[in-house]
Amino acid sequence: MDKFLQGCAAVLIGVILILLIGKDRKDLGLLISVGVSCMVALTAMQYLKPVLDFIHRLESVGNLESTGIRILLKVIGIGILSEIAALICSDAGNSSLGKSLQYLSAAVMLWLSLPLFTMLMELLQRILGEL
Amino acid sequence: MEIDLIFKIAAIGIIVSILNQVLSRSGREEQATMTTLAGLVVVLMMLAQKIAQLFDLVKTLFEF
Amino acid sequence: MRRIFIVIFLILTIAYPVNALELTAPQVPEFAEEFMPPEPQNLQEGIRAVLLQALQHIRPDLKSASSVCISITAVMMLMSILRTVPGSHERVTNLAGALAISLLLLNTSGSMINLAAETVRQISEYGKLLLPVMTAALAAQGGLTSSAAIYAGTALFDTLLSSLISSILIPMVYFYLAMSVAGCAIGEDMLKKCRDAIKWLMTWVLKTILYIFTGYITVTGVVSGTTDASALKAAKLTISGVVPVVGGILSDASEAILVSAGAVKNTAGIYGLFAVMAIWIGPFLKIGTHYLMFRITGIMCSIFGGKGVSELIQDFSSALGLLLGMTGALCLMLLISLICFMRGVA
Repeated sequence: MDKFLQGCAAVLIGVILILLIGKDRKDLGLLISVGVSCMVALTAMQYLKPVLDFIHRLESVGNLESTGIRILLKVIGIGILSEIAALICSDAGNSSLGKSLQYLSAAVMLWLSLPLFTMLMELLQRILGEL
Repeated sequence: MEIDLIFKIAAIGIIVSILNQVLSRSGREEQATMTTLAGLVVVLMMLAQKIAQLFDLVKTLFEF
Repeated sequence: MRRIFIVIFLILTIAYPVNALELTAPQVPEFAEEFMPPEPQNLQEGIRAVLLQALQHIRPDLKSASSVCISITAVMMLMSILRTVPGSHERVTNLAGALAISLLLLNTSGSMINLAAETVRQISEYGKLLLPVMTAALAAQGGLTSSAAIYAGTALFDTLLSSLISSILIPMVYFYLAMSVAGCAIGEDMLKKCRDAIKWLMTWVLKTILYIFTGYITVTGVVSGTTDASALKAAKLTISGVVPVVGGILSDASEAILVSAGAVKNTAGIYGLFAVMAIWIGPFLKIGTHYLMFRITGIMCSIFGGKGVSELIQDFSSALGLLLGMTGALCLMLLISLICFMRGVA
């Protein structure tokens, strides 16, 4: 719990420091915001670790196919990273770069989910093949 | 959770900004610019480590 | 002396060899042997014995159904966890979840569909063997026109319904499942509308055939008799509650069964009645167990959120419900005509 409070404190301090320093040096202000975002994201990932272990446990309980879960996890990871990066870009005033990054992440997610679509097609063929 | 990293960055930022002001007031523009650049590079190096740490963690967690 | 010879000659000419017509119901198929009641006294005891025998066989089906449901619950929990992680991965999560659940449910559903098709075939074939015996018995009692009428109607509707089920309705169940899987995975509303249309069509076909059959039986005037109001109401409520899809019509037609229960005398008829029930009850309870378990799982999973996926689970259970309706309709059609035969000449 105290990690969460530390995170809150870090963010608030970061905001104030950015206001202080960002007046004169916008670049340093941006670097501070990048640093704070990284650290908060690191803390969040550490909290996510047991959750993902539980997900793997559920996977073994349910006798599920591991490919689907793996694809899902990759897509979620890409989503988190691209969203943080895009927001930092828009903070810096370069929302076009952020948007391009989001297009890239959407394309990669689509490419990753191709096996799922293939599995769906095979499943439908199997059902309709019984006709 | 290393909050002192933020303070380090902030401290470097304040120092760079003060040096920049002093140097540019006394007319040494190039040195002011170089100081600024040096400060930025130092901060970037500190941050690059943290970003690499974050990407590694995401890689292992989400099985990239 | 001559008179004695004439009398003896006359006796010999009218001593015509007579055969007693041996009418036995055809033997019940092997897989249904275990459900047949041993030496029943009357109809109520026999039905109770068949039900008790069948209930003892539920245990393994319950186990397999609940193991599938545990896997489904694991998938649902996974999906709800992943949904709370912020990001734009909603569609991929839905797709993966729908795929996982469909794969889990498809094996069971496929075997249930094959079981239902096999049961329909068995009931229809046994009916084809049994009906001529019953027709002959009723005709021997003197009911020539009514036996012909009942036989004609039952044979026609039996063939119609069983061929409709095996050639059109069962493939439509597969199509229904395909539509619901695709609709849930992709999230397209059009596919969901197709799926609803298919279900409505199948229900309508079953109901219409049953309406026409009960109408035919009523019009030929073989259904009549006084009823006990409370017993009738109880039976109606039970049947309309237990058999999905077509339970309402079957409960109305069950009036005939209750009324004629007391009038059963013919042993071939009783054996045939129990045989039809024995063929039908095993698969019915098997499919019914899975139907109930899937429905309960679907309702439980709607608690976790994920409306689309819980709808998918409910769709699989509806497909099983349609199978129950099909087998139940055919079985009860045959039972009604058997009771009409056994009532004898009105």
